[in-house]
Amino acid sequence: MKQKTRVGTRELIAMLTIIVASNAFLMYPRYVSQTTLEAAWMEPIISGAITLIVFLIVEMLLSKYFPYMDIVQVSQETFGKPITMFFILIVVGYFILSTASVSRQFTENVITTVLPSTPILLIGAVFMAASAYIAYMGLEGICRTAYFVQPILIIGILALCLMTANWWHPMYLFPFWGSGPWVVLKSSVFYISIFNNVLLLCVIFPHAYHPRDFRVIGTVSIVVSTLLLTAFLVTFHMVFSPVEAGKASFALYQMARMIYLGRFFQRLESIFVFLWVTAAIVKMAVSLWGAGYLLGKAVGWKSFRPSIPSISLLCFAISLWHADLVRVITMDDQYLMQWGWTVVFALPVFIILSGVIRHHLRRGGGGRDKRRNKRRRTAHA
Amino acid sequence: MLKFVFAMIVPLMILIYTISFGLWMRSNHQGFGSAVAYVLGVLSFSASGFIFWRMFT
Repeated sequence: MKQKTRVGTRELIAMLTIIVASNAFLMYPRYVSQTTLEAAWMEPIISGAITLIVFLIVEMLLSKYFPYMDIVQVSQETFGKPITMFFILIVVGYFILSTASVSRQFTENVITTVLPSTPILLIGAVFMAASAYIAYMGLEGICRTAYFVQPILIIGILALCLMTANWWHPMYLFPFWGSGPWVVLKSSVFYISIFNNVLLLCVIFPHAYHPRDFRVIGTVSIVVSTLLLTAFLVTFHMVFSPVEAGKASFALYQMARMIYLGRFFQRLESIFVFLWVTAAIVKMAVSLWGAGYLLGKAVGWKSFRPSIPSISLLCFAISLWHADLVRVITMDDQYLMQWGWTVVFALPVFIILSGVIRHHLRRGGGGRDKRRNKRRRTAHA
Repeated sequence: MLKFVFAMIVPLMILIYTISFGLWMRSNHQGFGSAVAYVLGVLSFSASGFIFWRMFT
């Protein structure tokens, strides 16, 4: 597959920030509130710090041993094509299930909040069609959309936090450690999969205009999304008690409903619906693109675009597999969220570390590797 | 039943599109790529058929 797309640093930062920060609209606040109670706001900080460390290690190894190569190329060079195909199928499966889960959650969100009489099939189909269209336009289309949406998302989340100031109860944040430090740490590791930057960066990094900015893109996106999630969770926990927060299906909606700044400025949830919808579409478009792109690259398709309608249809069907939302939430929590780190973190790290070990084992061929890396650097200069 | 038939129009169109993609890959001598495209098309068509059947019948 030819790699023609080149995307700017700011656009990539915007896209990566949105896909992580949009978890504030999903079930993430509910999950972390259930497990760590008052200390829920610490989880994005700990998860973000771990992500940042893992990302910096991965970035260092990639630029030292595999300059200008993505994770598929590293895997193909290390394990060969059949095993790479197996790894890619795991990642594609994760992306498909993740898209299906996000689609269902946002669809239910829209039905509950603004369109209670509209059939779920129609809302889900419109969501999926919009995401599929953006994914079909490719990485450039997704990143430009994300760049446009990013300021709205940041201002929206911060405005929501500040506009509920008259409902804040700082005492709700105590006891400080919530369920206890060990539970907070364990839960932060379990729910680290919301930071899928590491996996995505390993995939999209050759598409950056300036691959040397890889470190800046990853660091800024991780830090900004961590700050947004933390700000939201702190506010959410100052407005609702931990028990209430653990039962909230749509945290952002419930926060928006609380806004009361006088007779003419109250219940501003209708404004925030646009925020959810745009962020949701960008998030789903990224995972659809990721599934199609990776599958195409592993299989050797000349273009991944014709596969996008089929993948979208598959995601749509899976999103409606369970009849009730409770089972969707349970599946999402137990499998995608709690075990997602194996795909998002463990797999890329395993592939890159295996590549580095293989590189060291082939020390006799080190000269050849050096010549190859030099050729790549010259080609990308 | 009629609702099910109507609902399956879009999946059928997507199946035809994906099959033609597979045929195009085959004409480019990419047997494995075309096979994966067929599998993907059939999988998404069957999954949506199952869901719509459950919803509309």
